[in-house]
Amino acid sequence: MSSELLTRPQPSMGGACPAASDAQRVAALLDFSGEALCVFDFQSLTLVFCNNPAARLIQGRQGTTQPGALSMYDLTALWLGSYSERVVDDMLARFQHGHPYIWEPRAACGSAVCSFSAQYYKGGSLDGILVKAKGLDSDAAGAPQPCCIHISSALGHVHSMTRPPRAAAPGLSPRPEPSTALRPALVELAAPSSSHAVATPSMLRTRRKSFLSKVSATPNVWSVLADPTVHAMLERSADLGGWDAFDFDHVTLHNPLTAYTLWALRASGLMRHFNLPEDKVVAFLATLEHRYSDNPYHNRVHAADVTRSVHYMLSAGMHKYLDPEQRLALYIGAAGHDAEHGGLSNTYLCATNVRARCACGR
Amino acid sequence: MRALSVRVCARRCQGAHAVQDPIAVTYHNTSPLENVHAAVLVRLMLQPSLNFLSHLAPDVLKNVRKYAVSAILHTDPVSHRSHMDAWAGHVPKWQRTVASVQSTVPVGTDLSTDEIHSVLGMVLKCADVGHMAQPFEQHRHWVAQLTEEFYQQGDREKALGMAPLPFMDRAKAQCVPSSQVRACTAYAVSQPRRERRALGMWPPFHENAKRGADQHAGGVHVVLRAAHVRRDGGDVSRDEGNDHRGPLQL
Repeated sequence: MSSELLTRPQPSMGGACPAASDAQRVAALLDFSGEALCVFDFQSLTLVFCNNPAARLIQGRQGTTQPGALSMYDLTALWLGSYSERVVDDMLARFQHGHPYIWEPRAACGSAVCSFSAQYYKGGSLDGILVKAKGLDSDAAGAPQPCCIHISSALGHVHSMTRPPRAAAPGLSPRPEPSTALRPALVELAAPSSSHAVATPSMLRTRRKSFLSKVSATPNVWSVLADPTVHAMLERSADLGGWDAFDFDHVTLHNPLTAYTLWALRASGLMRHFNLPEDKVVAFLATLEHRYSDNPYHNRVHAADVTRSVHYMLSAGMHKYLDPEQRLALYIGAAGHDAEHGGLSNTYLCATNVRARCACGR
Repeated sequence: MRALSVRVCARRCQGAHAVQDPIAVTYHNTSPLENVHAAVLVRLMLQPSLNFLSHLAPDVLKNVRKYAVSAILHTDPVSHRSHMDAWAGHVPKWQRTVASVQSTVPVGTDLSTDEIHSVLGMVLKCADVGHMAQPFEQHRHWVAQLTEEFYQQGDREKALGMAPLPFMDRAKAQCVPSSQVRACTAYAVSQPRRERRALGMWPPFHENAKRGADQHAGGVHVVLRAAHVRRDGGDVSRDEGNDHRGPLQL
C-alpha cells in the first residue's frame, strides 16, 4: 500500500559516494532506522529524503537540493496535527492519495522533496509528522549507501537523520556505538515496527501522545520570540533578579537555549555587527540544543541559564573591554559549554568504562 | 525505574569499570568532559549548513573557535585553582585596561593572548555558577537538581561496587548543603576584593553568593527536603571534617 504512494524513482544517476568524512559526520548526527516521529509547531515544512549526506542544505519553504543519487523507495509519511479527528482522517486520506501539495518526488535533482503547508488546512497548525522510510539504504546497483533524511521548516534545519550503511564502505570505519547523548527518545521511537502497514490515525495519535510526553516540541523560534510573555521575560533578563530559567523553559516550550541565545545575539548587536544569517544561527542553535540530554542539572535549561549569565555580565559593563569576536565566542561558548554531558563527572569517566560498554547511558 | 536499569546494566558489565572511559583515554584524563563539550560545539560550527560565520573572513571563525574552546576548558573545576592563580596574575593589567577604557573611549587592548583567554575563562566560569547569584529560591532549585544528578551517579557507582564520594551518596545526604556552603564560599566569598571588583558583575555576584552561603547554612533542612532525602536532620558543622571535593563539583 505504501509503495503505491510514490512514483518509484528512477535508478541512480551515478551520484558520487560521499566522502568518508562527510558520511561520518552525518552518521554522527543520529541513528535512523525505520521510523521516526518528529514533533513541530509551525505552518509549513519541507522534507528532503536523499542518500547523499552532502545534499543537506534546505532553505525556505521550497526544498532545494544538490544533485545526488536517488535510491529511495517505498516511503510513507503521515501527518499528525492538532486537528479534529475528521480533519486528520481527511489529511491522511489526501496524503495517501498523493495530494500534490503534499508529496512531490523530484527524481530529476536526485532527491525527493516532500513539502507540506498547514495553511491549506485553516484553523490548525501542523505540529507533528510521522516519517516512515524503508529501503533507503541501497541504490539501483544494490550497493549500500549512507542515506539521510532532512527535515526542515521555517525554523531552518531542524533534524537530520541518517542511517549508516549496513556494510562499512572501505575507508569508513564502522561506528561503534550510537552516542547516548543524542535525543534518546527519538532513537527509542525509531524501533522497527512489526509491520509496514500504514498506521491508522488512532494508532498515530496514541504514539504521538506518548512521544509528546518524551520529546519537547521544536517550535518556530521566531514566533516564540514574538510572544509577549517571552518578550517580557527576555527584556527583564538583563536585570539581576528578573530571570527565572525554569519559567523561561516553560514559556519557550522547552527550547530555552535557542530562543535565549538568538535573542541575546540580537540584543547585543552581534547579529548585526557580523551580519549573521539568522536562519543558519537558528539551525546551529537548534542542533546544539538537541545535543543536551535530559539530565537533572546539566541540561538545556542550564545552558540557557549560563548564556543568560554571560549576557548579564557583558551588558553590565564587560562588553566595553572585549572585542566583538570575544563576545560572540562567549555567547557561543556558553551555549555549548555542556553539550553532550552525560550526567557523569570527570572522576567517574576516568575511573570506569561503563558508559561506553553499556547502552544504558543517557 | 532508573535505578533498576542501572543495576541491570551493572550486572551485565561486571568488571568493565576497571577500564577507563574512551573519552578519558582520548583526552589523557585532562578535562575529558570539557574537551567533549568543546569538540561537539566546534564540530557543529564547522558543518557547512550550520557555519554561520562562513561569509566572513576565515580569521573570524578561527578566533571565535579559539576563544570559545578556551573558555569552555576553563569550566573544568579540577583546574579551578590554577586558573584562579593565573587570573590573579593578570588582574593588575586587567584593571589598567578597565581604567583606560573608562577614561577614554577606544578599547585599550594591550592584553596578551593568555590574558584574554584568562578573562574569557573567568567570565564563563562565573556564568557557569551564575545560579549562585540568583534569588535563593531559584538557586535552591538548581542545587536540588544538581544533587539529584550526583545521587544518580552515586547509585551507579554503588551498583558497580564502588564507593561514591560522600556528596554523591543518598545515604549521606547532609553533605550536600554543607558542600554548597563551601562552593559559595570558594567562588565568591573568599576572593580578594580587588579581584572581585575587576569583573563588572562581580559585586552583585559576590553579594548573592555570600547570602546564598548564609542561607544554605541556615536552610539545611529545607534543602534536604527539596532533595528528597530520607533523613531530615543534618548540621553543617558536623560535616566540616569531611574532606571531599564537594565545593568544586559543578
